[in-house]
Amino acid sequence: MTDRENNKRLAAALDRWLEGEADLEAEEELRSFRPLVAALREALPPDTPDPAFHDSLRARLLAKAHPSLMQRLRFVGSCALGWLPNASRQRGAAIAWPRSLLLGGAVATLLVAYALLILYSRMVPTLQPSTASVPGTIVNDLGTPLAVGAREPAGSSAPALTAPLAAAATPAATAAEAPMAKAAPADSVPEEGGATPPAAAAETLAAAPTAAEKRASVASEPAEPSIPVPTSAAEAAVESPPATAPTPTSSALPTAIAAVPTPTAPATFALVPLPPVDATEPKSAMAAAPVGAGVGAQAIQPDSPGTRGRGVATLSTQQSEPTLSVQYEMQAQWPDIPASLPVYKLKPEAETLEAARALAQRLGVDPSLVQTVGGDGAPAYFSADTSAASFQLSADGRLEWEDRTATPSSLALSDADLMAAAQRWLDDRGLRPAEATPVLTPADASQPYRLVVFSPAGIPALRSELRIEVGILPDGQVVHLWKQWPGVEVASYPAQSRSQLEKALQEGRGKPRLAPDPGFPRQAEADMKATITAARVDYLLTYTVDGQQYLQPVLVLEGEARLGRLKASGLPASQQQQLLDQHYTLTVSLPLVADQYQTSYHVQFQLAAGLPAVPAEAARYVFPAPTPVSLTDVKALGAKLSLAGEPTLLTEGADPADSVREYRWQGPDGYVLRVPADPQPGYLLAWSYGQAQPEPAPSNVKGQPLAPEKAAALATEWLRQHQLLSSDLGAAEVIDSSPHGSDVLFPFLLNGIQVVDENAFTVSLSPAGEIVNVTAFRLPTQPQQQLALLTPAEALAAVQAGQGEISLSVRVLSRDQIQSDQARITSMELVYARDEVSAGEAEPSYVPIYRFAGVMQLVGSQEPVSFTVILPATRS
Amino acid sequence: MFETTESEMIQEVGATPAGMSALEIDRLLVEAAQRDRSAFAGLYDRYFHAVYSYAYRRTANHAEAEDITAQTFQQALEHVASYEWRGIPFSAWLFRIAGNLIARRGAKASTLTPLDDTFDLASDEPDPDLNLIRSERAALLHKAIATLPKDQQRALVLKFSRDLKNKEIADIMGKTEGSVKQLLHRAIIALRTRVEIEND
Repeated sequence: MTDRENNKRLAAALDRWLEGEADLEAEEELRSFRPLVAALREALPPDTPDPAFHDSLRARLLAKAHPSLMQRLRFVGSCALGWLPNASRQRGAAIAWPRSLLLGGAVATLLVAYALLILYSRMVPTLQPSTASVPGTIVNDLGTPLAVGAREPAGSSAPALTAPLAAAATPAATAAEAPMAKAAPADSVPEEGGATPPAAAAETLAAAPTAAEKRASVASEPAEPSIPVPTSAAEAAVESPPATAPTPTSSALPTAIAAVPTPTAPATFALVPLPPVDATEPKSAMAAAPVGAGVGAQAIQPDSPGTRGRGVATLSTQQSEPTLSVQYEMQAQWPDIPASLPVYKLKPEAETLEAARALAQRLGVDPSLVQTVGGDGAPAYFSADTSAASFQLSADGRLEWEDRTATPSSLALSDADLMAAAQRWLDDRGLRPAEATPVLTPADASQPYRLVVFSPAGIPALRSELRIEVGILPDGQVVHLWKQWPGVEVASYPAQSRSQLEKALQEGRGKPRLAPDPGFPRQAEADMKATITAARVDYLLTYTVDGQQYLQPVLVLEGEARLGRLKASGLPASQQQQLLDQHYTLTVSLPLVADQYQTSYHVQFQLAAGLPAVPAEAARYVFPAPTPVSLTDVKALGAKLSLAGEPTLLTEGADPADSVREYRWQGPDGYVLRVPADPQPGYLLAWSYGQAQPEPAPSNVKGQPLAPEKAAALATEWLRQHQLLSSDLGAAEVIDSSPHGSDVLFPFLLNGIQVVDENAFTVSLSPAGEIVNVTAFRLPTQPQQQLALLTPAEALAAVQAGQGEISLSVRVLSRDQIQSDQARITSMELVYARDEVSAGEAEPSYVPIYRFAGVMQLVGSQEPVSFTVILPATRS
Repeated sequence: MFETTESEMIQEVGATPAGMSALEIDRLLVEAAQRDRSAFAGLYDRYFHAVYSYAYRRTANHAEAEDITAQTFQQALEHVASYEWRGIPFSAWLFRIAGNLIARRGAKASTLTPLDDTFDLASDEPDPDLNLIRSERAALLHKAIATLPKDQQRALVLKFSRDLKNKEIADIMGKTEGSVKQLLHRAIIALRTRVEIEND
């Protein structure tokens, strides 16, 4: 029987089994599928969630509110400006939102918007008073303080800066040292769990060993202007190599390194001669990068060298995780580690319907594709599924295609011809990247075609992420294609030296992976002796919390390990002994390039257009007690919406303390008006199409979102028709990543100035232009006092001087410092934002701020990066 | 057994960024979510399956598990800003929310699972080698499944996790039985190509 016949029989048997007509265990032809099916049953137990539910919930949670508003509001963290009256504000001060809304039918809408409120409140309460000597702290999109304002006088030592800088090192260090980051002024009063003056911080930290010691030493060092910023002790060594490199006596002798990965006991770095170390310590390319100079469009002030910061890696206290102390014995040769190594930043494609259609046509697929709308986190995809072919292209560029019409002939090409045919087929359709080189995989009896796999030539690190599989019949017909080939941006970074890597091991930075998994209880403590028998440089797929993926070089150490001591209360003695007797294989990986955030920035802003006209003063608005929502209010609203009948007042919860009341009014076609009845600050008007839950999910919404102009026009007209288009609504803004299709946002205005928070009308439209949901949030406001405002020129000057608060749309790797002389401010406006305060200090209010937005190009990167800078607008 | 390449091994390690403990990642994600709502995605992705699994195990009902999971994450998103980091896994908080929700609904006592069970690092598997093999196999298989088109992923889950017939899957997915069969066929063939499995 030929392979082709075999394949046919196999495919037919598989189909019979899938139809329930064949027994997997009984049919011999299905034997080869049994392990896979068994593994699938094991990997997909009954508690596996439906992937569609995962995606729709994710989209609903994260894309429900106002993404574009969110983008504008990515300003977080500390700010060294004295625009708020009290430095001791605490996080978490937010308006108590109506409980009823949490339980009502429009829960998702409100919660997401409320999260937006909280997000914004995260920014304001953490603002700190400034002193003349404290520049602004720059915060990245993770909230990590990135830098201290670049306008400190040259040569000044700035002890006030060291504490925030010490917090600016790593993702790991971020949270632990966040309180320090808020301790901007040297004379600020220490708070419990909050700000700590730098000197006190240094003193406190100095009492702790290992990582804490480093932190203290870093904190005690003065900042030096215009010198590149090492972000850890290890990096400091990279940038400032010792005069003489350590000289080992022999490369053949083993190295032993005792690593104690807890901060509670200093590690002992034991013995032995080390193999030779490359005396030429790598230097940072960025280290030599000059700090840019210049002035903005307004020629505010001459530039001055930037201050700098340092950070340290922080070891986790791992309070509830097993503590494993490892003593390493090095029996492997150290691999050659170049002075610098590339880091690959993966940049998936952003496919459009037009591109998908063009691609479908090139593949002979009917280009009338179905588009599944994507939300945030759930990428859209474009697909066609016919009897002739299937086609699916995700918005991030993953492509799968299959031809169902091919009729194999008896021709059998050679392997070389098959590879050439696959390559030619890709070339003819413009699908083969120049760097793709083919490999023909062995024949697989379960499928009728051979696979020709293309991957980047000469870059093994990328092979797993950049890959094209072409399924080709023996006669050369291509019947299957799977392609994932994101763009790649490469940047070289100085590599850690061997001594630095050893130190990192000593500090427990390489988390050992053991096989078999000993399954330690969380409170266990163990000593382990590991013998490293192999070491190599490899690549690790890492990612940031914003989803950006990097292929990062790592040193991989492999070997064997045995436990020397185990303390695991609760684990039976027999099991403990079993663990002690076990031989483990061990893998440890250590980052080979700096893996910490950059700690300095220098940006030269330029204003694209003229300065906006703003009033000399503006009111501060407070929030008076809300007026209870009455039946009359609801009826008035219902009349505008032309609802017939009467609303119903529903109460949820038997306990009066926890019960919530809500008016519901059934409209036509399943629309429901819901209005929380309890007096709360603000009220919600929500229409829900059909049942309140579930919300429309991306996978259920077919078609393209409306053109923004059309969506805005339809939404505006709808509000006008229903007498809801009041004069205090701002211009429509269309958000097209909504789960509904399009959301049109109408912000509220206060005295003509836009309010940037969740208080807005949002009209959601389906791709067909149907109004599917309307939500309205509104806080009652009352002017309290007039505040003198900075002029736009003064505001711009302050931003140029580093006094604003900046956030970027991307994370930057360490040393890829925020330096840009091409920061173009495309939008500068005066807006109102919420100033939340902690209880008892003052009333929350709307206060005016300047908001700058634009695009910058970082030095060393070709990628435009969106930024937002905010600045308090009041003179006080 | 799976054939695990070195790069796969490395990428598996990559599930936890080098040098960071699970707690550190938790803390980082919480801090990020407190500052930027969109960063809540990290926490969601990290704990979605665990929360769902927990909810399902306590309710034995997928619809209820979906409701509880949705409410859990909605509440977490709402309150994450005021979440105070105390060095405890973020998942503990999520499970508490989910547990409260289930309690209010009157979950079936018979399906109650102690909270700690969901975190127990020690395995009940009598054969650690076999346990390791299975967990690695499942991890690799999950990774391979994730590369499949969404429809194929969904069909696989409904087939192997819910043990549904093609007709039932077709009803849920809004497709024809034939289309579901094709999805499953292609998914299985693709998985067979991308992972190689032997019997234990």
